[in-house]
Amino acid sequence: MIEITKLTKRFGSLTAVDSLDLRIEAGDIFGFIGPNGAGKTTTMRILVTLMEPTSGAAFIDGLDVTKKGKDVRRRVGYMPDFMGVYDDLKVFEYLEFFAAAFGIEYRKRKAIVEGVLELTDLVSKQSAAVDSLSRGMQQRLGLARVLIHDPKVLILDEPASGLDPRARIEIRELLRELKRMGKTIMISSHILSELEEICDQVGIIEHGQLVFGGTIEEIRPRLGLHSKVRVKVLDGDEQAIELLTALPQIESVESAGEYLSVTFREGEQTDGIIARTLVNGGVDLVYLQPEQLKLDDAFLKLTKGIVH
Amino acid sequence: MSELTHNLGVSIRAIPRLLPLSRLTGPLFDKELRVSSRQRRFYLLRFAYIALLAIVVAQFWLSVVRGNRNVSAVVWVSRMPEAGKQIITTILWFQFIVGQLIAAVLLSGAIGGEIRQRSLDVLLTTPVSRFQIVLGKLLSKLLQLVLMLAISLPLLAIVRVFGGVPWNYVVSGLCITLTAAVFVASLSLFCSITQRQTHQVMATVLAWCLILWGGLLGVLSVLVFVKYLTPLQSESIARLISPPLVMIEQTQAMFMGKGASPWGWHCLFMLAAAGVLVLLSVWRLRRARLDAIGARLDSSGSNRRWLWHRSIRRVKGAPIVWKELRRPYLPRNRRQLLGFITLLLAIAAITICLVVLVAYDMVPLVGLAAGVAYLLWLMFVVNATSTSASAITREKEARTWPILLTTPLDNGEIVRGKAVGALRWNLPLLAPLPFLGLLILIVAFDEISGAWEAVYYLAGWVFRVLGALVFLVGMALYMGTRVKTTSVAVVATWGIYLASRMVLTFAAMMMVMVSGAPGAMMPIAGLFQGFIYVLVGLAALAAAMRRVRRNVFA
Repeated sequence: MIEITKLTKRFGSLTAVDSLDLRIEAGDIFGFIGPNGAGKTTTMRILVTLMEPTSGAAFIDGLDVTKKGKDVRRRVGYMPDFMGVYDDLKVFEYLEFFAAAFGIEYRKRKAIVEGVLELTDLVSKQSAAVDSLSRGMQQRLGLARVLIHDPKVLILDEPASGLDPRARIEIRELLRELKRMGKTIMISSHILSELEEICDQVGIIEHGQLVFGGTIEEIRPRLGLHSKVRVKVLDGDEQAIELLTALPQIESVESAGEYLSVTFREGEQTDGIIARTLVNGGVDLVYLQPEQLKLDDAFLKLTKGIVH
Repeated sequence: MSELTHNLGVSIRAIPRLLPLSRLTGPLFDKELRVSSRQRRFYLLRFAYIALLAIVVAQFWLSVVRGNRNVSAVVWVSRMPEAGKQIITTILWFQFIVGQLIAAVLLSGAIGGEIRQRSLDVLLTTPVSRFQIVLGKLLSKLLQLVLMLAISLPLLAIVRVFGGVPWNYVVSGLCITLTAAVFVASLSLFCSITQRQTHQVMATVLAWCLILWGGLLGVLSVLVFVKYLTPLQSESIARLISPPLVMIEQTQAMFMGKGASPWGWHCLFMLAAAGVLVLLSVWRLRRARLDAIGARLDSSGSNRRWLWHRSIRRVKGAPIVWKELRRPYLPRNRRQLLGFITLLLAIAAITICLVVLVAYDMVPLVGLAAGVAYLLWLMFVVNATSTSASAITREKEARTWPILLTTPLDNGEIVRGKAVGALRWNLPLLAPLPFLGLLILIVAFDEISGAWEAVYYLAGWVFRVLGALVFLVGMALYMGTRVKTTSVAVVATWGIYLASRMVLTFAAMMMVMVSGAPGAMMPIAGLFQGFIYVLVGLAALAAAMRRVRRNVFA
């Protein structure tokens, strides 16, 4: 559905996007992750025809974004990182204005606007002034707007930024609903753990280049998932640390309050070795739990925490 | 000795900290100067200003001194004092008018911009006082204005060498200009606290200036007529409150070689009035902030939208035109509405006074019609420019522009929609103009040789109005696509309009002079001007269409 080939965008001497290759299949939710200034927003702006690339090509639904701009815009719903609102309009009028801008016939508009208002739970606010809505409500209105012309592709630039936990959960639920409706969604966010729960694929970008692209399942072995284990023993933390540190597979053992955090060397197997060593060494084991490597850790590991 | 030198050095270094100016303005003044020194527009503005001034001086030089090539060098030299007088008068009047316009524009977004960007919240939580915020903003912008006025000083000094111009006139002219600009800047700053949109501020300031400085003279005349005031009292009040009147008196005195009337009290009065406005601004600042926060928290929006339409309006026709016309004609909250009604009442009172003066033959009817026509025209120029320029820049300021550009509407639809919206929005101001034109024609028909000439005059006049309309809308929209803020787009459009008016008037003068038949050529020159304006306006609209998607985020 979305295909990017050798996409490059330069601003003077700064290369914001550098030979980026990306492919997103229809119906997928793609999480676009990267530190500030990595090139996520620039890539999205090129996809929605707000910017021209310096070189390379981008296609949405088989249409070249630089040559078939109008057709691309009909197929895409874009929500920018900061959503501006018209202060002279009410919620219903705002949505109907965009419905008219997308060429929807007058007689069909009312039903469509009511439909998206219901989907985004904004029916009670349809007569409110747009600029009087709270941030969370405005984000929901933004989502309602991008759905007004029933686009195949949604490009959402940090839709959950600045929202409280409840509003974030609501947005996440809404995205799940949109996935069920068969939309292809490209979403960027700094709330990485949220993407982990909803995305089929993720792409980690840094310096305008994709440093990782694949499914969440693919990212785990590559980053040595399960390489950390939480261990709680009844007594004798020091003895346990001594036993485990002596193992060649173990990189480090640290005391983390009530339990020990054991880190394996990359590529080493964890199967049974800790339990065996501790029991044989006479330490009473209470529990042993592999630590999940979260997307945040993957992000930090892949980007090495370099923020521009 | 060395101790004395050391103490002296310490004392000198301490002066900037002890200077009351830095204490009064706080860090905001320094910040504003830093920011403005990095902005290209200020350098462009100075360049445009001096270029316009140079065109004006060149026009006068050519028409007064070099007008007739057959005269001898002695006659030439003898004409120079007269030329000097005319050139200096032109420069001073140019500065007087443009200085006030620029003062209004520079301060129009001073506080409104901070409220819009929510940076005033941060400022008000620092130890910087409200007085320092207001004064820092005012003085930093006034410094830009003073710099611009100072640019013309060498020119004034050179022209004075021609002779015939007393220093007193130059000094009084500059002082009157400066104090009027300070007053206008303070008024604009005050309005920017109560109104968020810069073009609304500019329109309000212009309206109040017209009322205070022009209209009140009419009221004073009526008060003299009904014997409520003596002519002397009326003159004294008028001299105190009306900078244009004082400038006119100074200019007349200079040309007649008479002693000038006192202008010092007038300047002091204007500064005192500006001081009152500054204090009012300080008083209003925190309240305005609280109002803005309250408005944001008021989820229904009903409290601040007094005249807000209760029912939802469906989108009919072209969506862009619909949205542009959705902008309310009337202010939406009680305070703005009160100000608007006050303004209307003041204009109505002045009009009634003028009608009374016409009824008692104190002012000719044609003068009244021409005066009202020019007033409407001026209001139209200001309104058409600001509504057209803000049609795009408002979207940029509100960050809705990228969202609009991701719809399938093409560039032509967007720009045409904005242009049609701006035209329809300004029609109420234009509607009375044909009647006034007709009235002037009927009254002045005796001086016109025949019916065909009358038709020519009317056609030329209509064409000029049409030309200006297309030019202002097209150019303002084009500027809106080029720059980020409404105030810059408006100033740039006014600057280009003013410069083109001068150039085209000069060209028309040349056409009339070369033809040797002024009667026949005048209407043709009008048609020519209108035609050029229509062409340039349409070219600007086409350029705006091409630029719509360029540098969307610049």
